[in-house]
Amino acid sequence: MSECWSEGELRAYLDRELPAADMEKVARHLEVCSECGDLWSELAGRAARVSELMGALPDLSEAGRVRRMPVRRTGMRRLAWAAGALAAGVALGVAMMPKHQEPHASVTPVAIPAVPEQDPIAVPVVPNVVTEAASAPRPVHVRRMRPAMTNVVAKASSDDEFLALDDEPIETGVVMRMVLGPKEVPADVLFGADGRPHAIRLVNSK
Amino acid sequence: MHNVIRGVEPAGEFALTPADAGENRRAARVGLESLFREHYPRIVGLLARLTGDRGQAEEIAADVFCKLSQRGGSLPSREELTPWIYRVATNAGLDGVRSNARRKRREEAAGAAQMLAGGSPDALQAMLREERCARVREVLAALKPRDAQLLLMRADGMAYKEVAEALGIQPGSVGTLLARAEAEFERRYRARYGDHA
Repeated sequence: MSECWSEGELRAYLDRELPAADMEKVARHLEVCSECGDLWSELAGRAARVSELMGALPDLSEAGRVRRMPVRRTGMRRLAWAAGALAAGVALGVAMMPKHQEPHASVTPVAIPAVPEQDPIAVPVVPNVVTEAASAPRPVHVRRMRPAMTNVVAKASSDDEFLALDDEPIETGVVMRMVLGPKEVPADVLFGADGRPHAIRLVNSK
Repeated sequence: MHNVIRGVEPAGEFALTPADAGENRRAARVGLESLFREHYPRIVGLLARLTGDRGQAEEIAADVFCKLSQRGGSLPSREELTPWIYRVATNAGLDGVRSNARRKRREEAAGAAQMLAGGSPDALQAMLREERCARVREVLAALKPRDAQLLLMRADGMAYKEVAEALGIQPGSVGTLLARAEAEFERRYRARYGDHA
């Protein structure tokens, strides 16, 4: 029979912390030595009980937190969503930004003169914006539009009817004549008090 | 005469700014930063497991490194510093457990009263879990600090080599010390709370 192993070595064997060669030797020895086998059983049972008790203490390390953290939208992710929504809003605003801008109270088609090159992002200062509500007390008819109808906007054409871009009620606003898209489609856009576009009406330029 | 004068060196303690003082300070700072990066997260994890309070754990660990950074003169070697950091941090954590124990008991008594007044089964389970944690912490606090350290490090999944480095012992003796620490922990736990198995 090979030489018996110490308590410390058997404990290390339990944790597989012995060198590979010794791991094999201990395994072979435990098959033939009842004394070491008994000691190993005692150590293994105690290690398991102590480990169970120690396992009651929660792991509050960063790694433990990550492992336990349920998948949910955290504050940072909500912030990212908000930032994304804001970016989308800005992109929409830039897309709808006029290359030139003329205050216009009338809904009749107008010829849009060519203007010198202008920074498309810079917001032109228009000192005398005339609101349709102020100059023309007649009501603005707004037709609610479902999201799926967005692509229909380019085909819609009406003299008086606006298409709503959202479900928010429109109490006051500014109508601005501008051109949209690469094809420079002329349109009236109704901006609310919050500065966002709430309704749109295409202008028949023919 | 010439040789005698050349052989005389100014005493270091009288020099206002030793020539290599700046270099030593820089080396010490770099060594300390390296130690901090390597061991701070693990020490916080061990202390958080021990105290059950991550904020307190961070405070203790930061305090240990702060003390270290304020020490004047050159720092001991890395092999000496690492066990010192773990030892001081664990001792502070064990002190925290001892001082927390009384407050925890009061809180548990209040929690039990609330549960009896109409709490849910979940509240009962939570209370039992807390009770078990408190018992384990109390037994750890009653052990020799090195035994408590060993058990916490193994519970944290540290390998024998890492445990040996943190305790300043030979890797070959970890098994022996661990077996003794487990035996002592179980003996004390049974003496206090009976046969938990």
